[in-house]
Amino acid sequence: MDGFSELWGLTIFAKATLFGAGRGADKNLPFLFAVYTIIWIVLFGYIFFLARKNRELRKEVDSLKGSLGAKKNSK
Amino acid sequence: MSRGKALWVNILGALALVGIILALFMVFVYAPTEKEMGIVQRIFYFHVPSATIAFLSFFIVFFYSILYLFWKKDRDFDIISASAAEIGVVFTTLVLIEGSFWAKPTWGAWWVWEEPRLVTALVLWLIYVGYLMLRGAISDPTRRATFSAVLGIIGFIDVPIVFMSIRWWRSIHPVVISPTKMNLDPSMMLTFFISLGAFFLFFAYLFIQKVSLERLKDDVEQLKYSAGVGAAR
Repeated sequence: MDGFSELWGLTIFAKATLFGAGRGADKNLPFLFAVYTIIWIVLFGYIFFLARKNRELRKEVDSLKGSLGAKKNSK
Repeated sequence: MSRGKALWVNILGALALVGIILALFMVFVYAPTEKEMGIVQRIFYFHVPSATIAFLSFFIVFFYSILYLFWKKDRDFDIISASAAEIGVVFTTLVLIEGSFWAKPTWGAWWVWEEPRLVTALVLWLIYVGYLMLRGAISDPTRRATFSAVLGIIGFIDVPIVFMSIRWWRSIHPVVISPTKMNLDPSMMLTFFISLGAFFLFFAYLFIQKVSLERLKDDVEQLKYSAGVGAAR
């Protein structure tokens, strides 16, 4: 809950400094904050997913090349 | 991917990141607050570029699917289609989420089934999720590419329907881009185009990484076949 209060405080601070106090923006700011957070989670999550898949496939390629090479040498 | 090419891809990624940071600055500091919808309108600066990238991705699927079916059964055409489809699904997912977060404070509901833009966009998402599921269900590479190409061509029919839905049917979705003008303040227009540019750079980076990944998968399949493990081509 403390973390949530800090986050809420940061949101109100952002509203006051970026959008100006007194414009009635408070009630919609959580929607804006939430959607941009989701955008970053999705996009960076996808990048990490691609990077991890890339590493796994490179290991598999190296392993397959190694075992193919060993097969050829043993013939 | 060669070292030189990897360097260029990393530079592209860095440029995309700088572009996104600049876009964020423009969205939250430079662009004025829209007088009717208030601050929630700022979702527009990522919502429309997300949709643009999704449409571009599905156009790439459409184009390379046609090349695969009617010109040459080149494995690279299938790889490019599959890569673009996955990225298109990611960005369409974002469009639907962004739209809902914009809809709730503006229309009072997360989703409006009577709104043609929302429904046609959901159909688009379902079509290409189906495309990815189809690819996952077929192990033979040639059959997978052929069936995917057919779906990639037919599925693209929904893209112009999504775009034109707010013009063809009664809609409460905002119309910002019309054939003769953009209904935007100049500073909003600049913010929009910078955001769009950043998204294009980001798409290019993701697309190159995804194509490289698909080619690696292909290498794995080939090596497994050579080792007597995988399916014949």
